[in-house]
Amino acid sequence: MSMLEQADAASSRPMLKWYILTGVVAVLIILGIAGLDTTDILATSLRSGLGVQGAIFALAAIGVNLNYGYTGLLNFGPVAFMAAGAYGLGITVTNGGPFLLGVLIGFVAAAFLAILLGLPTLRLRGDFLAITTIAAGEVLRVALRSENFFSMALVLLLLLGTVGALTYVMPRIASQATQWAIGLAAAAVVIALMIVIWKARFFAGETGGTLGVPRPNEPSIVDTFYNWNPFPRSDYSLTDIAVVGDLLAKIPWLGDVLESTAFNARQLWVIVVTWVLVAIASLIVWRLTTSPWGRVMKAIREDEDAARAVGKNAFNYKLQSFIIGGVIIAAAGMMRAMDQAFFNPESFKTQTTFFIWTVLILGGAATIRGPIVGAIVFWFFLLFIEEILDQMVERDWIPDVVLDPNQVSSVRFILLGVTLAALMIWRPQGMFGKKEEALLDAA
Amino acid sequence: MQPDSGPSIGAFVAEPTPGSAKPDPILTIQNVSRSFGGLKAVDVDHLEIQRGTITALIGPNGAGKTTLFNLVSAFDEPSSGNWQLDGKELRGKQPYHIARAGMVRTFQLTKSLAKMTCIENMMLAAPKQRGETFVSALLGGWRSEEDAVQAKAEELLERFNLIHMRDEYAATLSGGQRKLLEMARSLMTDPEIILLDEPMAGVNPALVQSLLGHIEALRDDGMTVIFIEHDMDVIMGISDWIAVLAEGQVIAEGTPDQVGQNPAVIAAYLGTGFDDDDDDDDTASGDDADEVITYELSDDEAAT
Repeated sequence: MSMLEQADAASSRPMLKWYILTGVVAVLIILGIAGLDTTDILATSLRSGLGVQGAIFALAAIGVNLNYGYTGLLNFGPVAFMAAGAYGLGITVTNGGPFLLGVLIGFVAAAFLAILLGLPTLRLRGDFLAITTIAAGEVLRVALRSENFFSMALVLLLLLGTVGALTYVMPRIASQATQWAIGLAAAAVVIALMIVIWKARFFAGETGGTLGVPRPNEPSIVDTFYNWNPFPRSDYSLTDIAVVGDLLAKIPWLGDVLESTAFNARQLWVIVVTWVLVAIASLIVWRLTTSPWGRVMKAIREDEDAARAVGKNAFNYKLQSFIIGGVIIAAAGMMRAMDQAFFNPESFKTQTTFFIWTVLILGGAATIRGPIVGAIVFWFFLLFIEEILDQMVERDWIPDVVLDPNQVSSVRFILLGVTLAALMIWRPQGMFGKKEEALLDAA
Repeated sequence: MQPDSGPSIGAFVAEPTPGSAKPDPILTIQNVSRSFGGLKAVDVDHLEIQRGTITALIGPNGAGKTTLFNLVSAFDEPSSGNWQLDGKELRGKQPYHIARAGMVRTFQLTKSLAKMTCIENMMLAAPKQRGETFVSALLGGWRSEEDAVQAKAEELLERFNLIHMRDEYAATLSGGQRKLLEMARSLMTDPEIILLDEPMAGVNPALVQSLLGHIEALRDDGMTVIFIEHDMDVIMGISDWIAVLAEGQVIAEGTPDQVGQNPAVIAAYLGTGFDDDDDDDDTASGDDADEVITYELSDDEAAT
């Protein structure tokens, strides 16, 4: 038996699923006997895992997976790309632009952010990239609080562009007098343009600042999206499916659970679209990573210098990974905007980044199904814990002195953190990662 | 005793002097230097590498051999100087440019791609693959090319006795096998010249023999090989030409016999006597055979 075969046998991949499943069932049986509403617990958890939250985080995690799992880039700023997508779409629509143009602008904004962020930072390695991207995400969020964000951005771009052009032009000019003339002329033009931008306030207030998008007097950003909704107004659950649904509904207890796991037409539309996007993104990532392109990406993840030594332009590939991943994450940002119909800078806090990473690590990086199952499991258990604690507090099983109703949502994160720590110790590869690869890392 | 006239090795004749001209140089290095603070790690005035030969780069620890490799392969930036491959200027290029131009290198600390299988390691290195661009990776149309790449990779794995490890992760290979894999991977790029940084270090004696065979086969295929090595038996047995580096400078060049007898080289390795630079230059220039003998005598005297 080779070392790898042993590792394979020890990874006990099929067993973890059954551990989780029996664990959940056992907890539910005990709590059910004790008198909690287990139907509600399970239905709420399923609604979260399979619903909007699960789908959006699966989509975002697929983007990060392309960066981290397949290219080895520690992108800790996915929330910045979500913001780029959401703002690109939101600003276009609130200004009367067509919805699809907004989607396109959202994607372009994300790609632009990837390039802007990638050019200086992708030369950094490992941890440094993580620190820079997390900082960039925060900088973007704080900058978006300013109503004059676009004026500022324009001025900055103007300055950078001028400096860049001058560094290119200056060494090619022989006479010092000409150099001075060009320099002064450029400075004058830049200052004039800055004054124009500032005075005209071209884009003043466009981001909505802290008020968010859309502002109270602005048109909705989601009308077009929900106009396309083919589902008539009603509640939908698995038991509504013809023939099969009736059979499902007849199963004792589980039938009730499935019937309670219902979504309204609006939610269902978001869910369907997002899961379709998840499928498309997974297909693209699968197609890319099983090609020679993906081979170069994996080589960069393993050892960038080795890839460069055999003639691969590592920087170019890393930028591509950043752009494609960023665009996928931006789609998640847009879908969240569609779900909530409103966002402001505070919608893009680092917490979202950490959730996405948790989802990815939980499911297993560098796998296609990892981000999807990770998202479902993460949101299932987040709500599972919350619902159980809620009911316990409600029934005074846990006295208010120990835990009052307002603290429940914080405590679930503590429990989740402990679970994650345990996962990292005993199963560093996540649910679907390859144990042997995790072992090779340790070697 | 070798006469002072240039000896002939195969088809090539050159003076055994540092920086001597070669009849058909593939790589020419001029005034390349690299300083780390006050230390000049590499300071090579002129060095030509003859096409189709095995050239060994030797010298004591810290002589700047690996740094010179890093400089010519653009993994490090020189403080000054330039170098040409087949007359094409390489200063200011990126490592991948240089690999594509036909000069490929291996690393002293082997860079195998741990979580990729041997065959993936190999197939990565094939040049100009259609499926490496984003659009064709997505749309397809690279399968037939992939088959050809795979066949070539398998052939090389076979040649380097690694075919039985084809689908194993590179991380599970032994140190020696990784050296072989890295060398085989470099060959996937169809290089004209290959730079091997200590290819024999940590490889068991039996494998060394087969590695030497591979290297000689490369030369017989028309490839140029430069390698850094410390094992004198290996160097003397296989190289056509030797360049000796000490304190960043080329202090001697020549055939294995000539270098083996060069007092400047003996001094650099043994670290005794001959601290007078002028004397070194005289002997190394090789135009005074008597002086060589004198030095050898004095060396003998010192020994007794």
